[in-house]
Amino acid sequence: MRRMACACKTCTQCSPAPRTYDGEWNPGDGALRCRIVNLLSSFAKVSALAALFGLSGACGPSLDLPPPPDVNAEERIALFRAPDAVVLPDIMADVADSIAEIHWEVERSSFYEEILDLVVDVQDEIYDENGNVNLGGTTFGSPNGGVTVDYICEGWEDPAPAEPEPANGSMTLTMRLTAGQIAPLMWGTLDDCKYPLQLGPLRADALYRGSIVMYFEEPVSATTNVYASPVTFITQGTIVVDGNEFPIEELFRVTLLFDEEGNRIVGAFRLDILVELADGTAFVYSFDTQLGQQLIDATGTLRCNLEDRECAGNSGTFSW
Amino acid sequence: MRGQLRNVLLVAVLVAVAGGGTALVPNSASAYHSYNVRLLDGTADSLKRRQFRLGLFKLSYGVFDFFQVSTYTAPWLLGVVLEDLAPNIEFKSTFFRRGRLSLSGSLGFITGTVEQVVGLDTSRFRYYVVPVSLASSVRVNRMVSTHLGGTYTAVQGDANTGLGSSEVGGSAVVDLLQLWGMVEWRISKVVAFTFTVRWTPWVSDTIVRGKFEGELGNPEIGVQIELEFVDLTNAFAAIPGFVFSWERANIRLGVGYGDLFTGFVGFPLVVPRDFLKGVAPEFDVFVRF
Repeated sequence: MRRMACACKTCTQCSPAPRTYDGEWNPGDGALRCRIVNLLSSFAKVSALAALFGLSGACGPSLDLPPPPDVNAEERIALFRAPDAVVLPDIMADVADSIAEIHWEVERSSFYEEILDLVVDVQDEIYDENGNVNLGGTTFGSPNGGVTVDYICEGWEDPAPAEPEPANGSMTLTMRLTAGQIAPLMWGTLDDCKYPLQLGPLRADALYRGSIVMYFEEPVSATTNVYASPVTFITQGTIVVDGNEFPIEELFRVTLLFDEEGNRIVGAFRLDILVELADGTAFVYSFDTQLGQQLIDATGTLRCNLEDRECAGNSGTFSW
Repeated sequence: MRGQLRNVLLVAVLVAVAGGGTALVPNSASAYHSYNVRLLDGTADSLKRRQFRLGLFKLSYGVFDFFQVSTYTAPWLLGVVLEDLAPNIEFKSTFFRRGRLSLSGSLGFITGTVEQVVGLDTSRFRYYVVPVSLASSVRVNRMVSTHLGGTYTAVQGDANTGLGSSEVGGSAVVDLLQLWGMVEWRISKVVAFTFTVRWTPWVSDTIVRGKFEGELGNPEIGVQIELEFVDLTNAFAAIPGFVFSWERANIRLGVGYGDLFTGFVGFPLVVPRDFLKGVAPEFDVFVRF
């Protein structure tokens, strides 16, 4: 058994050569060998780390979708169906102005329809004529997955610019695909997304930065008429109108109205605003182009008028 | 099923008889299944410096002692058939080799393009395969060695499809983990019996990604789909075989039952057993010098 002189401290060939049954391992000698051994040692560490990284990171590829904002969406949206507040005059006195502001803003903006247009764009792009999800000519029956939409906003110019202008801000929307249908809950963020506000004959420059959550009553398929579906919006961010900033945290449902032949009635819509009170209860205040204003709380439905500052129901009338 | 299994067993028996018969034939050649000349495939051992292993499916060269660089022939041939280069390379290092135990790590890379022209539409699919392996070999005694290892393979494919005037881009990704164990019994200097078990305990979801652009590129719509692919989790193969090793020439031959593990041709993937009706082959012819 031979022992080799070691030319460098980390050389590992100084140990006795192993026994063999039909040949002896000749470990070689000299500094070159040690360098090689050290080089291999380094490679080994890199290989081991790479392998460990691969093995331990065995989560593999997965859907790469931004998470929805933490706005407790489904629980709050459920309050539309069962409002639990009992509205008294002093409550209305506190919230009437903010209800009027939301109505004013939604009525004058085409912003929410612009978002619905994006959902229609997604329908057009991902579904084929048979209603199947189609990617590059390949059809997928009822897949699960996700959709992300990156959109450059319309801006303040009239008409909208021919080319997308990044200075107009941007919007990203995220949707989940469940069994081939777009799940009812969608979410996104807006980064200084500029849009016009129509003030009679005048226009104001508005922009929104923050998050948005949209909820359709049912999954959106290839045949869903997105505009005819009631859509609940949850906004959380800041609106800037003509340079003035307004924090905004609202939950409202917009339903565009159609005539008996299925044609959209221009400018007609129903707006249901969920008014959440400090005690954790909530009620719904509605504006309907055809039915007027309503208040729905735990006691039932009242006909109201914000301008006259009064509501009337079966149990009587109150004002604030 | 019984008929298939009977065929597999028949081939296995024939191979075993042939192997056993050869083992009994005296051979005067020197240095075959020896301490110095070890099995390289499915083990933790690598070529020594300036050694070659030239095979039907794999070409290797020892850059340093126990550090080899290899390339597989099948991807190159596939590239020739598809008229597109399909380069591939694999580095393997036996970074620990003391006494009875050897440990190795390897890293590979394969890429290539598949192009299909139908009418005016051209579809291009470019694939990338990156396998990372760790292996260990234990020389139990002068007759028997055992080998254990695992390979984590990341696969990505990028596709571009021209559909008339519009173009759609997409990609697909899938990762899989393969484990293997092999017992090597050196019956003689010429013949070694091997019994290999391969198993895929985990395969990731397959994600297909595509991107569409609206008018003037606005909006950009990205679609991701979890593909419901053939479930290869728990794919396995059990393969008895022999490695015949003469002075330079070597033949590896085995046949077993299970899914088809295609690592020996350069693609460390798994093909469902239906493809070969459950026959899991293992084959290579190579020279070492």
